[in-house]
Amino acid sequence: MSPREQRSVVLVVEDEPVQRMMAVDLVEEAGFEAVEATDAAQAVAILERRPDIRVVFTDIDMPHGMDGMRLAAHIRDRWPPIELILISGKRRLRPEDLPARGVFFSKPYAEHEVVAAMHRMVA
Amino acid sequence: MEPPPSLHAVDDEDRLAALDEYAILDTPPEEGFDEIVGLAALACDAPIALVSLVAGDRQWFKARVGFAPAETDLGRSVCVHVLTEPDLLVIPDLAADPRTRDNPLVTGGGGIRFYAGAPLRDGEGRVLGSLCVIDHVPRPGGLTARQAEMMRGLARQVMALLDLRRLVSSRDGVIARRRLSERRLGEAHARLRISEAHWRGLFERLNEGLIIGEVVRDAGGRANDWRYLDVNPAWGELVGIDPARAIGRTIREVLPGVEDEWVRDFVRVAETGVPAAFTRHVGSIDRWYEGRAFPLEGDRFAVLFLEVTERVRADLRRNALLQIGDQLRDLATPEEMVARASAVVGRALGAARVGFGELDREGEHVTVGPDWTAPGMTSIAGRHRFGDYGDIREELLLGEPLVIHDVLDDPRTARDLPRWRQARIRSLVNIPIQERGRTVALFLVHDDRPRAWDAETVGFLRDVADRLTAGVARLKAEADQRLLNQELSHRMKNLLAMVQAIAAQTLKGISDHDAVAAFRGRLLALAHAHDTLLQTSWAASPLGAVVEGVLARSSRMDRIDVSGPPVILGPRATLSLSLLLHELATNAAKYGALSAEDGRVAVAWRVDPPTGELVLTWEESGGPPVAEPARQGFGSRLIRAGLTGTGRVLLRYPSRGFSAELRAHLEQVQAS
Repeated sequence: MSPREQRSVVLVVEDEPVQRMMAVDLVEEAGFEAVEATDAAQAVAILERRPDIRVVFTDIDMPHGMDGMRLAAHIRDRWPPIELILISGKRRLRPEDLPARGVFFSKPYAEHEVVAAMHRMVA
Repeated sequence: MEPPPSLHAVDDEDRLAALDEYAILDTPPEEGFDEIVGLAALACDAPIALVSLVAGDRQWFKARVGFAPAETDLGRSVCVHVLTEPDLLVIPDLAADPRTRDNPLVTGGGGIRFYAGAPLRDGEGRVLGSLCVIDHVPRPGGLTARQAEMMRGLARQVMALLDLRRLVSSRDGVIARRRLSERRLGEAHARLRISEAHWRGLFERLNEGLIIGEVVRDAGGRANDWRYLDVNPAWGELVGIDPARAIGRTIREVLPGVEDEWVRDFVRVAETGVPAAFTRHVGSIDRWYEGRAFPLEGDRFAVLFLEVTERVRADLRRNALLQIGDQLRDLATPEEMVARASAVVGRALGAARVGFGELDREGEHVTVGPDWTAPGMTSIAGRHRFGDYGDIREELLLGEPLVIHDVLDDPRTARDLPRWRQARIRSLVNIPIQERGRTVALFLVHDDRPRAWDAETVGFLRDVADRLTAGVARLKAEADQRLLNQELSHRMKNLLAMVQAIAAQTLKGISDHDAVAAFRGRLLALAHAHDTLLQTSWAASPLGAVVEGVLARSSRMDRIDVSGPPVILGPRATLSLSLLLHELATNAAKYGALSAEDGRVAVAWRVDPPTGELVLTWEESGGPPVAEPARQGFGSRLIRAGLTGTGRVLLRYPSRGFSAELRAHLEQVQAS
């Protein structure tokens, strides 16, 4: 397998462009392949096309359409193997609010903690 | 020498007592006696005639003709010799008779020579003296038979006069005494009448109500009622009952259903004799009275009192307002405030139901929340249409209080009674609460009987409604503030996330990785402090939570010991302590105890009682030897700024490990 083929794919869902850019950089610097979506609908469309996505890294607070929580629930329902990382500047999720195997970070997040979580998930 | 028998007779006590009884001695001349001596002198053709009364030590003349002295001693008396005579004593020649020949009146110049005296004998035979005639010449023949008979008759007349006189005087005495006592009695009566009128007047004019009462006992002697013996007009005015209807009846008859205390306490006063003061309510007429009851004789008592309904109600209203003011301050929800205020008002006014209702946008309906009800009354919580209750809507929408004393009589309600009846409302006050000129809510007070709501009560309800509105507004303002704080915090965090993202992009090419890491770390420490503050709406943070939160993020918690009592920090201190701890932890991880395998950090804080100072210590051990850094970076300056930005930081660099001691006044770290 080539190094390219070995890389796990992480879908970044974030409506804020600057924050999305940072997230994509973080994912790539951690050695993963990043795919971007600006909202939940686009994320679902990508997921339908790309069965190789291992992790979805999504903001919760997206004012348009489905929010990150509902997206996460939808994914857990439709693509159970996919791992979920949720972030929010507004809400502080308790473990019982999270989908199974989901991980939560409050914005702004410590990058090394998020990277560590991704590595655990794809290990 | 033996005294003559007649002298014994003089001293006869019985005789002297009889003379006393006639009370004749030394009295003025009287016509009847004067006429008798005149007749005697005439009948006997004598120059001298006397009515002579022989006392113990003298003879005294009640009437006399031809003789000057009013009395003589007994030595000159011839009459004493009559005392022992059964009949007339006639001495034809006084100078020849052994009994009188030495008498000075006989021996002296112008002397007397003849004497004839008839004894004055009372009904019991006692001789008081004589009626006598005297001549200056002897009369050997004495008196003729007719003269003698005349003298006897006249002597009886003297006695008759004396008897009459005594009788009259004794009767006069009785009358006089009776008159005297009658006069005295009259005066006493008059005085009595005056004092009764006086008291009656007081009784009538008194502003205080006055009751004279008497305990009423049942067959077993148990006192469970009392009777009005008398009440004054003020009583009638104060109680609102015609006194004529009360006098003679018992309190339980006059005021059916009256509180037992009104019976028990007055009975106790009568029975124990101990006066008692009272301030008490008569529920059936809804009035308050204050006064004193004091015992009278026997089973009776008096009660002097005033009506104090207005004063008591004013006190109740004032206390209720104070209570509401006090209690609303501590309540956290509008529902609790309404419930508390309703209960206080309900009890203060003795109302049947108190509640709060919100109007719909159109002002057609009011939705009443959970209401306070007196025992036995039902709640009217729920939605009500004004139209079902008559013509009450317009005033309320205009912001005017709706005051109805009796729904049966009021033109606004009298035609739509079923709903009022159903809710058992007979009288009511609704205070509208307005917001920007629109009535948005009503404060409702109901009673199940007609009630004259006075201006003071309506004013009081307005005050309560104002306070309630202000209280609810304060809660809403606080809730709004919390929401605003939260929203601001979220935005702030999003802003920090944006700064983080922009920094990440901007610093991509920077080769000084340490600087980039330091920036990111500080940004995160700040974000975390925000997070902690967000939990309490930016009010305060527990110091322990701040310490653990910062350290858990930036270092290995298993090598840090945290200890200290619960201390609350204000928002500013929370932010500065978060940044400061982040710097200390970062330094420890780079150069200090946490850079070595076995190094440890102890974080501890305490409050020094005498100074009220918060002292926070950071002590490292088990790390490589340390030395004071030559250069003062941003991190060191942050640390030296201390807990409140004003220093009071002690840093030490002994070889066993770095330590820091931070001090600040507790008040200051809590204030901001």
